[in-house]
Amino acid sequence: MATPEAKRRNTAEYAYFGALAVLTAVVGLAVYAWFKQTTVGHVLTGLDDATPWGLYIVGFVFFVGASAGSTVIGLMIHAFGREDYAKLGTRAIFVGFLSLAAAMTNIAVDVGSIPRMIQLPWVYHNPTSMFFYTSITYYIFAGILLGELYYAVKLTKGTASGRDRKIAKWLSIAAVPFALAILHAPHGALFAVVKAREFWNNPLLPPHFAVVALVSGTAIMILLAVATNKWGKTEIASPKTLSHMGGLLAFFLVVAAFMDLFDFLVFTYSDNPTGASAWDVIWGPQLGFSIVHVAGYVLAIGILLFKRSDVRWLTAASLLVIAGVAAYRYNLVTIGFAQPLLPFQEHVQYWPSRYEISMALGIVALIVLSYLILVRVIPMEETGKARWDAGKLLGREEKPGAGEPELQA
Amino acid sequence: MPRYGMVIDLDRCMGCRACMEACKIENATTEGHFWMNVFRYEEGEYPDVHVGFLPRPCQHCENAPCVKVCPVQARHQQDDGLVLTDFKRCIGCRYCEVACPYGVNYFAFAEPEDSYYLDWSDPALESVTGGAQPPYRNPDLDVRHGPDGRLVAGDGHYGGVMTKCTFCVQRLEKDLDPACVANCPVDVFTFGDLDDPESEVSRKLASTRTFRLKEELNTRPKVFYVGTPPGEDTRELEPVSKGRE
Amino acid sequence: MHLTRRALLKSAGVGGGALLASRLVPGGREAAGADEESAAAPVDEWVPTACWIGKQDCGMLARRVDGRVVKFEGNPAHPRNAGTLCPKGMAQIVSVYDPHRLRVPLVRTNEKGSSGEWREASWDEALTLVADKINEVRDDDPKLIIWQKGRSKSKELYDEPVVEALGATRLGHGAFCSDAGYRACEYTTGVEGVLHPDFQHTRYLLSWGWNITNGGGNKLCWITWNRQLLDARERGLKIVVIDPRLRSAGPFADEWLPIRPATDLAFALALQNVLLELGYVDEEYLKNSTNAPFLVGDDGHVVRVGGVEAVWDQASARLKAYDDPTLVDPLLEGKVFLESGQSVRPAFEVVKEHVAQYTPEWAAEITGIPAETIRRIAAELGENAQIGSTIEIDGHSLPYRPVAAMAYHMAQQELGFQATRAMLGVFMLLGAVGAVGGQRIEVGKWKFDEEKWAKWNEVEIGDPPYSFTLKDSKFFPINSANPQVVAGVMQDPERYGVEKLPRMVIVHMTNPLLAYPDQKRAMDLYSRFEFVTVLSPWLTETADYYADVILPTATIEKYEGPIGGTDQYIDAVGLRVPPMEPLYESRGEIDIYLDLMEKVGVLYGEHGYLYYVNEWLKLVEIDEETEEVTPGPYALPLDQKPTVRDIFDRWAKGQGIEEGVAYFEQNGVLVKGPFKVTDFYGAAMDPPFGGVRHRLYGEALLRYREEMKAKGADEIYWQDYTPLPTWRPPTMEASPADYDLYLISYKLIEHKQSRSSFVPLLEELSGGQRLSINPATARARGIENGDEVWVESHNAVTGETRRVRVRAEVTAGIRPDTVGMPHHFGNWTHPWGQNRGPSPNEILFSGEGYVANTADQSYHVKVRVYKA
Ligand SMILES: Nc1nc2c(c(=O)[nH]1)N[C@H]1C(S)=C(S)[C@@H](COP(=O)(O)OP(=O)(O)OC[C@H]3O[C@@H](n4cnc5c(=O)[nH]c(N)nc54)[C@H](O)[C@@H]3O)O[C@H]1N2
Ligand SMILES: Nc1nc2c(c(=O)[nH]1)N[C@H]1C(S)=C(S)[C@@H](COP(=O)(O)OP(=O)(O)OC[C@H]3O[C@@H](n4cnc5c(=O)[nH]c(N)nc54)[C@H](O)[C@@H]3O)O[C@H]1N2
Ligand code: SF4
Ligand code: SF4
Ligand code: SF4
Ligand code: SF4
Ligand code: SF4
Ligand SMILES: [Mo]
Repeated sequence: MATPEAKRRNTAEYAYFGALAVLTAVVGLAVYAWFKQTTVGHVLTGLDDATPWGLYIVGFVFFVGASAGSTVIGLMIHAFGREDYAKLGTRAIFVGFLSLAAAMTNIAVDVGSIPRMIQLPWVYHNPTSMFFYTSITYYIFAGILLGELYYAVKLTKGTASGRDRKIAKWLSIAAVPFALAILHAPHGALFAVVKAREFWNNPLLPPHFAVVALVSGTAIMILLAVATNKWGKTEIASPKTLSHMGGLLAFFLVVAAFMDLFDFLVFTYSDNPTGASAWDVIWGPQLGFSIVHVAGYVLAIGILLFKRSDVRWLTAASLLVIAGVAAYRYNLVTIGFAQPLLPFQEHVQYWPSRYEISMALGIVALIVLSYLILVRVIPMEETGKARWDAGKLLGREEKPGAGEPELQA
Repeated sequence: MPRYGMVIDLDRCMGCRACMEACKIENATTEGHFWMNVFRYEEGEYPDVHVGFLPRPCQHCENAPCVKVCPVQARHQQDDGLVLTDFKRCIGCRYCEVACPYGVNYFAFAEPEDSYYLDWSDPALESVTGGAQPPYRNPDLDVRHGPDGRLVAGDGHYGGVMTKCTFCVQRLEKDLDPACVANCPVDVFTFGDLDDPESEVSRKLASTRTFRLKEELNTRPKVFYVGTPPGEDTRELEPVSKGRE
Repeated sequence: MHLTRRALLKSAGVGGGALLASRLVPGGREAAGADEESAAAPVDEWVPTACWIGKQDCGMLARRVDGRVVKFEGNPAHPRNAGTLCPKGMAQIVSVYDPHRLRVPLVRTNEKGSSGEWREASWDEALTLVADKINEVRDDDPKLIIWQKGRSKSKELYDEPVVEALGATRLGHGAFCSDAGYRACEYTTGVEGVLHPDFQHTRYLLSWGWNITNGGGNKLCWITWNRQLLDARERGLKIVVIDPRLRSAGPFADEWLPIRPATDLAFALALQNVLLELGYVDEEYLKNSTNAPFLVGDDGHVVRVGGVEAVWDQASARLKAYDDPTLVDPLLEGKVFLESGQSVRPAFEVVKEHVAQYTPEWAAEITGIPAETIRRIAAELGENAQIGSTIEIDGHSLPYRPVAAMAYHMAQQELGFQATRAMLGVFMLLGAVGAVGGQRIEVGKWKFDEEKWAKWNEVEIGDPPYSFTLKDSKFFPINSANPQVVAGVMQDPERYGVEKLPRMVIVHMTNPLLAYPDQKRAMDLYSRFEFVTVLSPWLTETADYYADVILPTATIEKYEGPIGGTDQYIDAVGLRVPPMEPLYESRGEIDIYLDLMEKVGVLYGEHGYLYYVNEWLKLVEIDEETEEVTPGPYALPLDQKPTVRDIFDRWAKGQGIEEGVAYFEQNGVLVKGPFKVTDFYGAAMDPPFGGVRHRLYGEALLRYREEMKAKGADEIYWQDYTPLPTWRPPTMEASPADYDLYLISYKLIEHKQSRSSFVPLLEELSGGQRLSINPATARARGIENGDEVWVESHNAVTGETRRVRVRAEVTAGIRPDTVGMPHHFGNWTHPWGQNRGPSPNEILFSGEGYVANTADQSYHVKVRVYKA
């Protein structure tokens, strides 16, 4: 006779492996789609010469953003000295790493030739290309994240030297500005430098990207913490911490919404063709995305301001935020093409094909799958704690107010 | 070293698309690829209607955004001003296409063997054509060109690469005008060396008022137009097919 | 060299994994040998040939690399196209190599009337089948064999010798092309052709239903005219476009007069009205070169002296034959009382009286063009004609009247014959016909054709039984031999008084099911033949449904000609030279006919095929009276089957070209130089216009009308036989009011008739079939650009309705009461032709009410349009 506790564990096990199976199936479908696309070509996508970038690029920027945003946890721990975030630390690194991997996978399925793409930036380079530039940053960022992991393991095993500790700490701190300013903002620049597309050609786009990265990174970490609390072995974030994260999210979100608001405002004002055709798409065929974006943000802000200490509301807000950011990214990329290049041309509406959707889902499934496996093999909490302790040894504990939420949105 | 440029006289253009077809055959461009595209449009209300035509090759911009953004320098500019794609290097990221203000790029969405309109793999035919794909494929496209000996001419080399007008690099090397220029029945084009004040194109530029497309973007196209630019309220007529699904 | 990599991989038996690997290994795509330079330098050569897909046979050079033709370019030496090609000319290489070409002769194995099932046959078997049938019918009556052609390319080897050797009946495509206009010009001037300007000198052009940027018009297809037009424009030519839609002239319309379809006759009459009112009349031309001074009695008949038409000599105040050398000054205006007491008037008076009713205000109602515009255009014409002025060319002082019209296929309307006469009338009043800068008809020389001049004036309307073409019948005395009229006859021979019906047809280079209006009627026609054989490089729709035997012809890979090479100013002759061997088992038509004639037994000897080839290639001289034949040095022996190359070698040598056919194999075209002005301008000829009086007044037409009535023909047949062009509303106007739109049809620059809509490169350029519709009209029906709509036509005579489904293209460049659909589409046998939209010929009608009085086809019908 199984005890209720054992029963619960058994059900959890079933659910776990069930989830793995479902995710594997989704990944399998994506692999098939990728096989077809690779052998037949990008005709299988909804892309064409009028809209050469679509869902893959949306996925790409979303995940680069998520990757960059996840460094916020490191920032909390190491710059603000918040011990209550410590248990999340290693998970954040993994989120960063897996998101980066997802971004890379999106690019890989997007380009015409993978074998040629991976020669970038090693063999071929072009210093004036934002894409060349960002391709370097992926490797560096991946290096930083791997370094953090390496030292975390070392710290956990207790084999870390004093110098290792120092490196570990500074890596975590350096990761933040690197991710936001050097990794992600240039992705905004990737679009912003394109004079041909007035919709993107805007110097505020890079900072906007950085803010949105923080929004999505924070939201993902909240969800992760909530999920781990529920299904993991221990509680990794106290309700207080969660509420603090909600506050952070609210803060970032308000800034992002503020930027969006003025974007919209400028568009309604400008009666120029780009504004008009963007408007036509935003409130036309892509109205669904626009609603998710705007309503997602607005509702989330409301929830976060008034209900963030309730885990269920917080979860809902985070989900809304992630959907909102995804919709924002989707509109941003695709509406760049809303205004045809020559005055007499008509806008061609892009919709992703079955293949693109399968692959986009597959990539998400792949990282969730990887994460689910990794949490079983890597002692996340232990490493997180070890890093915190390492930090403390370096005198972090003298900082006032450590452990208390101080940021209010 | 010449610096090639083109003048297109819209006041003479009949919108016949013979230049497009010359480009298609000369460069063996694949289905849906119109390196030269002649747009047809109208403006105004019945009965005060104006019809116009605009041939649009790659503008071979001097300050080419496509060259700037290409991460691997597959898209490059030769000393003679030709903006070309190195098909052995292009990773197919389509950034050049996104950055080009003129919509002249055509991505190889499918593999060449699936892009030549008909299934040419027919033994009876191959006994005559030697299996060329398509049967009229210009052999000059499959050799290397330019100072660095790159694979840059024509279309249909690989799937997943970016293609566009090359100013017919393979013809210029033989001292021939580009195919579209040579085939225009009513001499809409003038082509030649912009640096040589005696060249036909320089003389035409000196003697006629011209404009360039989207001058405000400072891309400095080497394609100049004579006539009236299409206004904001023009409507496209008779667009070409997009190619089959 | 690019090989089919996929095929390679497939043949190597490797599956998807290898395919994937080939995409993922760096350089993997290159595996099959892209970009390898071959060791031996290729043989890279240019050989001359001629465009085969189009109508003006532009000179081409084929680039051949190691024996493989890789491109056609225009032959710079050719006067017509000067080194350029239109999109069709350029793309034809794709159709030459088209794997869907017919490869071997085919014999039908299923019932006719639906898509064919075939068995392959040897040439010998197929030709024997055809020859046996020919002989069977010949034993009955050779006239019951129809040899039917579209725009055939070598009259001298096909149209004439084949038909004559067989004794067959020839049916052409002209009744669907511009024959109504031809008939009017032939009848009026004796010159075969339709209206076009003298671009080197014309300063004011009525582009009258001329599809400038797409079609091309008279005799030539496109390039030549447009090169000349643009140069003329840069010299100051003004172009007034008379067309229900603007897209024809595109940006070259200095002024657009969106005329209501099928009302051109009214417009032309109103122009005449204003010209007469304002006195823009070239009396000298009218007096000396037209029948305007001929005296006409109250009964409408011309008074004759000694059997010759009479005029009133004002100098001697006497009646004289118009060709009387003592005639000084014929009366043009006024009235004369003859001794008999009969009052007679010069024809010109009759014209004036007749035209007086056609005021601009009257025409404005009908044509939709404001009266003041009509007045202004007439005045501009009169002004620009500079009546009385002369110009010096090559030492000749010639009349200079730089105004003209260009009108070709637009003549195909119910009143097309009379409309063209009225248009010619405008330029006759102005004295512009055959003058410098004025109205031209034939390209090149002003070729007065004695036979045609007489033919349409001297039709003997007989009594039944009539031949199945209704030649010389009370129905269509002037008769363009319309196959759709034959269809009507075959449906109801009694009604037309026809006894013997055709039994078999040889279809040469035409595709009636698609090319000609009234597809249903055409289907009915072909279903009634005992035997149908089709010569074509493709499975035409006609062959698919009705052929018993199909003979696959070569496309460009054949000798064919001789081909006129003139651009109208420069004399030239060319030849189609095969740039490669015929693909598959296809053969050139001349080869086919040589064998077929041999099998029939009419190749050799007197009045055999070779005999007529000699005649038409002028390799012999035949005395017209005695029929005695004097062979020239290069005549074909009549007892020996020549090769095709040999035939053309003899022809070339017979032309005085020493190298023979080798000259054309080298050069493609022989440019002889400019025409002499005295050959070129009718007015400069000696005597002017070949010595005839242009028929401003059509007495013979009146005679036909009377005889037709007398023989009991219905009014619908004789109503348009009037000596002067007379307006009546077209029959289609009797359709119910809810058929509120006119449907018109025209060509697209990307396509050639029905023979190119399956050429993928052209199909891609043209963007497929569409219905042009005005924004207001579309809005009223809830139709948006790109919507699928139904176009439903109504036959005003039979009440039948038909409809097709098509995509709408909204354009402000068309009249709100008119919709337009180009020709070319509706193909179903070729994979690339399928699903490209319908042919307008599915909903156009033929037969009474939709053919002109000359049996010519109209391309107009009333339709309604609604959302699908
Ligand atoms: N690209 C191309 N060129 C061709 C051909 C081809 O198939 N394709 N065919 C060749 C042949 S065989 C011919 S006959 C010529 C024909 O040369 P065109 O006569 O120039 O050609 P269509 O296209 O038949 O032009 C008919 C024009 O008449 C207008 N129209 C229709 N109804 C009326 C009317 O009632 N009144 C007036 N005033 N206008 C009207 C139409 O809008 C159209 O612009 O083109 C030759 N050139
Ligand atoms: N609705 C509408 N209908 C029209 C017109 C229009 O404007 N609108 N235009 C009309 C005019 S002006 C004309 S002239 C007629 C023309 O009508 P046609 O002269 O009958 O022309 P096609 O329709 O091209 O038919 C020619 C056929 O010959 C075959 N063919 C092609 N090349 C060769 C060859 O080398 N040898 C042989 N033996 N066969 C060959 C092809 O299969 C092709 O289908 O169409 C008329 N039909
Ligand atoms: S070939 Fe000449 S006339 Fe025709 S579309 Fe091109 S530029 Fe214009
Ligand atoms: S037109 Fe476009 S593709 Fe051509 S050089 Fe300029 S930016 Fe590059
Ligand atoms: S698609 Fe090719 S040419 Fe264009 S930017 Fe990318 S790598 Fe460069
Ligand atoms: S220059 Fe050459 S490649 Fe460019 S459009 Fe003309 S024909 Fe095509
Ligand atoms: S104009 Fe006519 S003959 Fe000349 S290339 Fe075009 S289709 Fe051929
Ligand atoms: Mo025609």
